[in-house]
Order: sequence, then structure tokens, then C-alpha cells
Amino acid sequence: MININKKIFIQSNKNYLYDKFKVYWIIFLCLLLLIISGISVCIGSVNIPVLDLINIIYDKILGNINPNSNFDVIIFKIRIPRVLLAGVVGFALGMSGSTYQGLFRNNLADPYLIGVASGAALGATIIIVSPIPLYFGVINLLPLGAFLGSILCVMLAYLISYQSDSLTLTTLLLAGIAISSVCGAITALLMLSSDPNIRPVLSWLFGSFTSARMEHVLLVLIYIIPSFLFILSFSKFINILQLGEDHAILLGVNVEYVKKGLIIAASLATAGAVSFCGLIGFVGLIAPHMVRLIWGTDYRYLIPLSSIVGAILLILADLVARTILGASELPVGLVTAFCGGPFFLFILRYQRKYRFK
Amino acid sequence: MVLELKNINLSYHDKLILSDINLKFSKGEIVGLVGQNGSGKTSIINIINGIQKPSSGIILYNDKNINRISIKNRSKFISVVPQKINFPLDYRVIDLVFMGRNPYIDFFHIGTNKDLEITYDVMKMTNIVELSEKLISDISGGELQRVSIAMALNQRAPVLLLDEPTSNLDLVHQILVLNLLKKLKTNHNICVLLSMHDLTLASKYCDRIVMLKNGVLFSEGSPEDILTHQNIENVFGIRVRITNDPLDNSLIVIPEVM
Repeated sequence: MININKKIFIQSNKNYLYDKFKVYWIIFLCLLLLIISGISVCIGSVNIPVLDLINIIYDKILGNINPNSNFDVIIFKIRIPRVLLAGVVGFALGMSGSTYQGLFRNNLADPYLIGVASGAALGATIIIVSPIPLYFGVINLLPLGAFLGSILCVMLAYLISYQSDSLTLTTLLLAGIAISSVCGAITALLMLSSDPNIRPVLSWLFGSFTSARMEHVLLVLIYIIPSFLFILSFSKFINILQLGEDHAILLGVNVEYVKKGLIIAASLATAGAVSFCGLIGFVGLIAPHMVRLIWGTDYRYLIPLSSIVGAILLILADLVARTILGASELPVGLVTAFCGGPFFLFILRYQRKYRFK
Repeated sequence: MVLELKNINLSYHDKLILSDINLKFSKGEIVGLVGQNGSGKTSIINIINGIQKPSSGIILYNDKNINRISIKNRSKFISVVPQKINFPLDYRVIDLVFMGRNPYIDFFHIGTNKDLEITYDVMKMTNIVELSEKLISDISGGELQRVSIAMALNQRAPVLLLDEPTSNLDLVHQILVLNLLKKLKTNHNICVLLSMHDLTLASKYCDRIVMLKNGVLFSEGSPEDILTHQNIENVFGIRVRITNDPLDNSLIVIPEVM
């Protein structure tokens, strides 16, 4: 029998309280994200040397006028907003994907499966198709419409599953799938019957960063930062929620509040992401799975890690989408589906092996 | 008096599950709930821990209505070992046991060294320190039950409820669990309420026995008073022989082969 005394026990389990290695990994991934973003800004129809990029940004920060002003427009008006938007959206999708997976205790949950994203897309489409102006004063109505759509869908799923005495997460998930397909159908119908002139505008729905602007990035950030902080502070309760809702109550977790708060926060992030770049599948599903395979299931680290991994994945996917065909561009949703589908099958296969070991 | 149930009624889909239950529990005693499957043992435990709300009646903890206490504070007073344990298989033992400290950890904190010290003490008491790094998928049923008990003990609550803690265990592990409960009672003055099926073990370990029949409190009192031919035949519908253990004078209940 191994004799473990108190001192050794506390020493060896201190990293339960504060896992230094995972924090280092988070810092490392942030750096990686920065490098990949930089490279991604450089590559495109016009390739910009990395040193030039650093020089131009350095000059911009110092306020100097630089000689390469033809790069200036490409970098600051096109590439940087696009890469930033892809990163921010990937961040949001990774975050909400891991949150939903923890909340529903189902590794298949992601914003696109449980109706949140489809609801958001429907809300945004209604705003575009209807005569409501896109701007109300300075407020862009698009994310608000998307948020309303996603929250309405979640609430509908919530109410349907609440009928049977208490909220069971499986029913919520199934209701979400049904609502998701209905929303998708309505969105398609609205698009087909809409004015042919705005039909091109609706193409963003298939997932694209073509029209990214700096203003979009800021708007999405307004949605994502509060929900990220909220979800992060609730992440330790997601860990306890893995024991089942009843057991979590016994351990002093106010499950109803935690559940509602997390659903709202994750839906907010999803709505923010969907409203400017449409439906991009698989990132919210794949990123948490990759993180889980490498760093384990502790949601306190899983959520930030999969947010960052989601950002990296989507920046790379967007890079592929806009460079692989030369001049013309693929929808980024196509790229994520094309790479994500097989990868997901691989994970399923790997997990089965792992479980039977 | 640490815990008091007053006129508890519970109905579910027009079916009466508990009717007019009045019970009192005090510190430093082990109370056994016995009765057939479906007689309301689990319902009583779920009503005390707040998962089920009674249709009428109140539960008092130290003369305070338990529904007025927040979920977080309630879990500092009452800890539960549920009957069905479905732990996620990819968690380590220490991760789970540490979750028992949740009621004491502030919203913006993740726990202190003191929480780890208490966790160590609890794991020592339940004899699972060696398992702390193992995954839940790698431990046996008896060890899982001890992890579950350690998790509840980590809440440091004066009331411990256990829903059939011994029913899935072999004889050795049954005795280990029950000895642990006895130690908790004497050393920490905890009130232990457990439901169980083995009447012989119940009479050996319990200070008081509560007998339920179809959701009604059939009788309660010391094991000698409650575990009689008459009562057992009434409640379980079988004939038994009852003899005394010559060593500690507890009862041995032997069912008659029909």
C-alpha cells in the first residue's frame, strides 16, 4: 500500500486549484493565435512580406506616414477586419459550443444543433428582408434581431421540454433540433420569396467573411466579451453539472439559475457571431473535442482553450477559403464542413477506441 | 432536534406517495428507513434534501423552514449519498471529492489549501487516498460508493442522508460502509439517516428504525421494538424467525422458506 501523507497530497493536488500547465498552454495558444493572424493577414491575392506588415503596423501605431501606402488599404480596410472577424467569430463558436456541450452533458451539442444558430439566422434574415431599416440611430439592428431569434428559439425549446414536470436536457436538445429545422425552412422560404435585389445580401447566410468591416468586429465583441466573462465565472458549476442536475443541487449549485444564465450567455455569443457571418458549422463542435482530447474535461480550462482553438481554426479555414481557388472565393462554411466532417468522424472513431481500452 | 418533518404529504399524478409523515431526528444517531420497494423511502430522503417538494407540510432544520434556506446554504447542513450514481467516467477521484467543497467556495474563488486539507481528511476517513489520481472508469463499485460518501462528507454537514448505500455492495463493503457511518456518528456527532433492505444489519447498526408501508409511517422506535414477527409480516408480507445475536444482543432476522 502506498502511503500518501497530507503534505504530499496537498502538494500534488495543488494544481487542482490552479493548473499552471494549462494556464501556460492558454498563453501559448494566444501567441499562436497572434502569429497565425499575422501570417493570415499577409497571405492573399496580394502577398505582403511579413516584415513590411510589421513595419506598416509599427508606423501606424506611431502615427508615421509610411511609403507603402498601397499596402495600407489592403491591410487595414480588408485583411485585418476580415481576420479579426474570423477570429472573434471562431472564439464565440468555440466558447458557446463547449458551453452547450457541458450544459447538455452531450458531446454532440453545438449551437447549430440545438436551434440557437438557426434562430439567429432567421432573426437576422427577417431584419434584412422586412422593411425595417438596418440601423436604428447608431444601433445596428442585425445582431439584435439575431439575438431575439436565438433567444426565442431557446425559450420555445425550453417551454416545450418544461411541459413534463421538470426540465430534462434530452428533451430540450430534441426540441432544439426540431425547431432548428423549422427555422431553417422558414429562412429558406423568406430568401426565395424575397426581392431579387437583396438576395445577394443574403448570401452571407451561408457563412462568409467577404464583407467584414472593423465596425462588425467591434459589434461582435460587445456581445462576446460579457458572455465570455459570465461563462468563465460559471465554468466550475458546469463541472459539477456533469454529475447530473439532481446531484448538482445536492452539492449546493442553484441549477436553474446556472442553466438559464449559461443558455442566455451562450446564445448571445452565438447570435453575435451569426449576425455578421452567417452559419458556419462544425467549429463549435470540433474545437471542444480537440481540446478535450488533449487537455481533458475540466471546463474551467476547456472553455477558454476551446474558444482560442475555435478562433485559430476559423482563421485558418477562412485563409483556405479565400486563397485555394486563386481569384474566386469559397464560402468559409463549405471549408469548415469539408474539413470538419471527416475530422469529426475520426474523433468519433478515436473516442470509441479510447473508451473500450 | 436537528431535523423535523411535520405533516408531510406527497402526491404525484394524483397518486399518494407519502401521507402525513411526522418524524424527528437528532444529532448523533443512526436512523434506518425500512420498508418494501416503493414504500416511500427514497421520497422521504428526496423531500429532506429538497429535490422533491412536498405537496403539503414543512421540514424544519434547527427550527428553520428548510425551503427558506438557499440551495447553497442547505447543502452545508444536509449532505446526500444518492442511490444512483452516474459520475462522468473521465473525472479523477480527487476532482469529484473536491466538488463536495463547493458550498464553501465563494463565487469568484476556486478553493484554498484548507479545502484540500479537509478533502484529504475525508479521503483518509473513507480510505480512498490511494485512489485520488485514478479515473472513475478504473475503480470498482465498492470504491465508487466510498467516493460518493467522501463527496458527501466533504460538505461537512451535520445531517447525512444515504439512499440504500449498501444494496449494490458485497458483504465486506457493506460492513465497511456501515462501520464508517458508525464512526461518523460517534466521532463527529452526525445525524445519519439511511434506507436499507437488510433488517439484520439494520438492527446491528441503527439506533432507531422507521418502518414505512405504502407511504404511511407504520411504526418507529428501537430495533427491538420494531423488528417483530408481527410488524415484519404486516409490512413485508413474509414470515420470519427472529433470534438474538449472543455477542451484542442485536436481532437476526431469518426469512422462512415458503
